[in-house]
Amino acid sequence: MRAAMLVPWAIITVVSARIWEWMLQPTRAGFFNTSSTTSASPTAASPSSRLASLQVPAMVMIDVWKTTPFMALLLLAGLSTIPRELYEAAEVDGAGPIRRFFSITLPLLTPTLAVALIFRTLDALRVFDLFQVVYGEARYSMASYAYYQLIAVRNVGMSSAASVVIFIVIFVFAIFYIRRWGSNATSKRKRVTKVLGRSASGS
Amino acid sequence: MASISSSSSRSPEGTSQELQLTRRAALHGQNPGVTVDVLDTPDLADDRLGLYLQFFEAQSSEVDVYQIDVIWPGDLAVHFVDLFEYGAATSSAQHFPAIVENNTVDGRLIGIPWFTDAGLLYYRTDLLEKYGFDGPPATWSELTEMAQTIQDGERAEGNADFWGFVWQGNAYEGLTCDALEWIASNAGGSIIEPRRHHHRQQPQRRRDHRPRRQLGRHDQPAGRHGLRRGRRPQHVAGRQRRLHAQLALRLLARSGRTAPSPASSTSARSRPATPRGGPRRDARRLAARREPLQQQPRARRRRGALPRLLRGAEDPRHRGQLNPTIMALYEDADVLEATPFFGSLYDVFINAVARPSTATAPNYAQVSSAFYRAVHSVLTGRRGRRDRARAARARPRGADRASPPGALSPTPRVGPAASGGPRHPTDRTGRVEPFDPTRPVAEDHRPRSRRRCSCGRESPEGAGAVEARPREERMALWLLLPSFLIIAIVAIYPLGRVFISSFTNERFAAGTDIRGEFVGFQNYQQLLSMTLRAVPQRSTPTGNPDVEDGAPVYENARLFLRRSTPACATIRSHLRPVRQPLRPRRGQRPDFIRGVWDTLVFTVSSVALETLLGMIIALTLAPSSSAAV
Repeated sequence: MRAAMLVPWAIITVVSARIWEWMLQPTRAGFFNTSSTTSASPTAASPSSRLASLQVPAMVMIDVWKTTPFMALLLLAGLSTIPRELYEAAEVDGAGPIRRFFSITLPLLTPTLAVALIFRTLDALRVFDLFQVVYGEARYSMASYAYYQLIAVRNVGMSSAASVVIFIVIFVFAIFYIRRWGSNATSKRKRVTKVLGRSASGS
Repeated sequence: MASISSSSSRSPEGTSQELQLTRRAALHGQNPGVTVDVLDTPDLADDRLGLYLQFFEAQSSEVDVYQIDVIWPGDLAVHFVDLFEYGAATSSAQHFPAIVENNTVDGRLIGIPWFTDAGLLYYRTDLLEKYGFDGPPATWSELTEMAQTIQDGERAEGNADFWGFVWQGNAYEGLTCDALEWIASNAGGSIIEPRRHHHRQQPQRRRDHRPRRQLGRHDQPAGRHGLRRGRRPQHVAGRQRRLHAQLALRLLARSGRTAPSPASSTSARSRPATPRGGPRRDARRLAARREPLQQQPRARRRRGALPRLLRGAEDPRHRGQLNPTIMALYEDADVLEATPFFGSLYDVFINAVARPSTATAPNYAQVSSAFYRAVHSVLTGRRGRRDRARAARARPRGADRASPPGALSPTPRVGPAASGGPRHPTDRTGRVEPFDPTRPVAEDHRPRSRRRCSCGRESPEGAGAVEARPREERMALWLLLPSFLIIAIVAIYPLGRVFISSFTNERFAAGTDIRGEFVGFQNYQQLLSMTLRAVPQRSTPTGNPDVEDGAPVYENARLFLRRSTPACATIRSHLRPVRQPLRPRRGQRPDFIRGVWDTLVFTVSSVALETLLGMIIALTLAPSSSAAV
């Protein structure tokens, strides 16, 4: 089951992006276009312009399809580190499932969650392959704009400036995450270990 | 040993054919003692250019002869030898003059034409007969009319997916070809005329915007919304049918610098089924690919092989089904017998309207993409006709310094953008020190005792705490030092390099003796600056300016922005101005600002969704004993 979950993650991004691009074609060839038009209007005659306004959401959908398994796996690993005694104790104390999730799972998962979020955010900020394959020069991400400036326009200066802007944006995100979770997460983990250590020695 | 870089740009069949031909030509051109390797290259022309540029930038001597695209000579000339020095004058005279001229940069012949192609209109004779047309269309308006009639008729008979006319309308280089063909055949000239004057709109040109747009709206099912590139099999997938069967006409040659002369157009008019916009000039482009063989300067020592290679390329047998560039072959009896339509192609190639690649070099890519994107946004209805003409005029700003400034900036600009001068100023001083790769980047010159603390995370107590660290920890840091050095080399060096070059106007693979100049923050200014535009005053239904309590009332800035500059609508909410009249704004490089915005939206929404879904999946899959909820 877990292995099967990883299939989208295992497919090379270029390949999956091309597959999705075909499915998103606003023509007869496009899966979404065809399946949505045949029922409503039998002609499928008009190339559906509605897909144009959904370009970024389409990208998000592809990325979610592809990367959710990775996220799930990371979180799964984090979950398995949470000692089950805590849940048993909470159950004895009469905590319901929702309370258990917010009081035990979420706080103890925070370090894992922070790592996973940082990974994914920094990854998504420099997205290149998805935009390059699906939209080419019709719509850019930051990174594919830098590529376009370098290869097609051959303007190293402009391309470098775009890259520096990417760097700064990523830097801002990284600072935010570290401020928000970096020290907090470690201290929390220490506190938890301390608590566990005391309970272990106490018993 | 000589290497040839070969490749292909279209369909799979085209790919293998070109590669095979290159191999055969290479074999033929072999001297004893010279081995020829044929390298495989990417299919798409853009990707191939990227690869070539990397070879040039690296001063690689691996490849001696390049197969290049028709739009590249002006840009890449500095990397190739002058073939006139190798006795190419006689053989180049046999080729179509427009192509040879396109390959001649500053009097240097940098490539020998190999083959060329032309777009053709395919149509179905059975359908023409069925709907009572005598023959294929001769003008664009006839084409529109006939395609519409046939499409309506076929759809009425239940063939819901029938399309009257299918053409490439996606936003990429191919659209430049199509749109240029359209404009030129309506006597609109080229995008940029050979004398480097930006094209000024001619009155005639307006008339035919409408039919094309109709075609765009009704008859063009192809991936118009930016789903990339004209992959024809995709476009005609399903039950869609092209008008096709018999080869009839041409389309336009895309190279050469000059528009067709009146004399040539009269001869062309006698040709059957050539869409023309009324009694106007006929237009042709040389199609995208002509494959000159080129040699790199560093390979001069291998010159012995070159003439034979060129002869190999000229041999008609090594051209297969691809259209030759040698004029005589179009009148050759054997050739005509094998492929009768060649005779009519001759005129097509002789009267070429250029994609202005040489006139705009080295900025052709920008000009072209500004052009095809403007055309694409008109086709998709995202921009009006008038806007489009304005945009097509205004965008290639960086490309054309020679033209009068009035023709180029139709919108008044204020603010930082207005001061953005030419991108390659010559009057600036302050050159950037050439980066010295031999200088050690990662070496740490600080005294030993202080070097330690640079390796680990600073402890909150400050540097004094270093001494308090346990021995093992210090040991660990020492052991980690090599990896930190490696990281410094592979990460910090490129970062510094990028940072430095972002302040220059350096060009990629521009040749050895050309260095970028320091331009300060100009690149950033261009990337990030905005253009402010005045919001028009609102007018009352009677047409008078609206005034309320003595103060003028302005239009809603949001609506105005959305109407005028769709590309930048995304940034509107972030930069709220203080003063009323200068509300909407667009980036000088709206693509980048939109790219930043798109990327941020993409990142935030996809990460949020992934976390949520990932959490759900993880909780579901977690062993029931632990996290089970």
